[in-house]
Amino acid sequence: MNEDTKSKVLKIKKLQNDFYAFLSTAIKNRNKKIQEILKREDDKRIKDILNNLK
Amino acid sequence: MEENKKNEHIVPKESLGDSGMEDLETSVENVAGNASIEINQEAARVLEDSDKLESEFNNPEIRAVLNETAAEIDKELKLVDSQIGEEGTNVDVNNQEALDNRNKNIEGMIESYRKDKERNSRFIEENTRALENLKDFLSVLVKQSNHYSESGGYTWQLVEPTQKLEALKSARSQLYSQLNADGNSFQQIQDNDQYKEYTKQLHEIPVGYEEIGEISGVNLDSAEVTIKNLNGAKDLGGVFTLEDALKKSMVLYEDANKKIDTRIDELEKGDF
Repeated sequence: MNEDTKSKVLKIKKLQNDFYAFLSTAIKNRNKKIQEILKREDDKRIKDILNNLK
Repeated sequence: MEENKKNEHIVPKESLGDSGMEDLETSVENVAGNASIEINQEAARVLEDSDKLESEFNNPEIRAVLNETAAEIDKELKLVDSQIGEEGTNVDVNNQEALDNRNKNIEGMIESYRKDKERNSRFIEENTRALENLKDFLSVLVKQSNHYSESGGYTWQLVEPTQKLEALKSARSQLYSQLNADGNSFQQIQDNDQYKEYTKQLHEIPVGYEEIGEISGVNLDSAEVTIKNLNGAKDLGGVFTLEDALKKSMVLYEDANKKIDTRIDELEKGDF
């Protein structure tokens, strides 16, 4: 494999791996946001229940 | 959320090292073609999980987060795919082997897109048949069931009993109470001609598992009807009339086919 080919293959592999890293980050951020929404809703529900108990 | 945790650890399929590169008879075009297919598959898998999450939570705020993430992924995918394409298509035109490999990759991608289109078209045909088979039930409300059908698609679940089902259930129940109050035994009630007729009619509603679009199960206790073998659109959430659900699903598959046609056209013209 000549140097030019090798360099192109490495560049493609890097682009591919960078995309996987991007996907991982995007999923982590998405899940974090969903968890925050769910926690906020849970907190509100608990607050409502406690208010009703008063 | 368990399924998503899996996604948090996407492991690159190949390292950046050059181990094995020497025994690659592989051309740049092969590597680029494979990389393109793999990143598209990975992105599709993540987006499919998003669809499942949307169905699971059915929450507008969560839906907004999912849509935002999907848009970001789509944008990045297009960018990276085109960068990979640039690297892979910049071939030496004097290198016949490289050109042959590139053509082979393009043919492979086109074949894969054609299979997707065939599958989508089959779903459209199934829904068209279902619209006819289920014409008496089109106004009832359905939601997408969380269960996959045996055919691999989603099932639709009625969220309201049909009037006929409800009327039969009620009439049979009243007759049972009446016969019971008159002192009939359980067996005598079962043998009562009118009671047998109601039971027969109720059992006529589920009419088999084989035909697409047939109602395959009736739960008399919950008055739910499950329709199997209907492929719904995976990103439909909420409650629709059965007619709407089937038609919306078809529109989504038709849109997907248009995108596939465009992509095939681009590949055939060499426009990457």
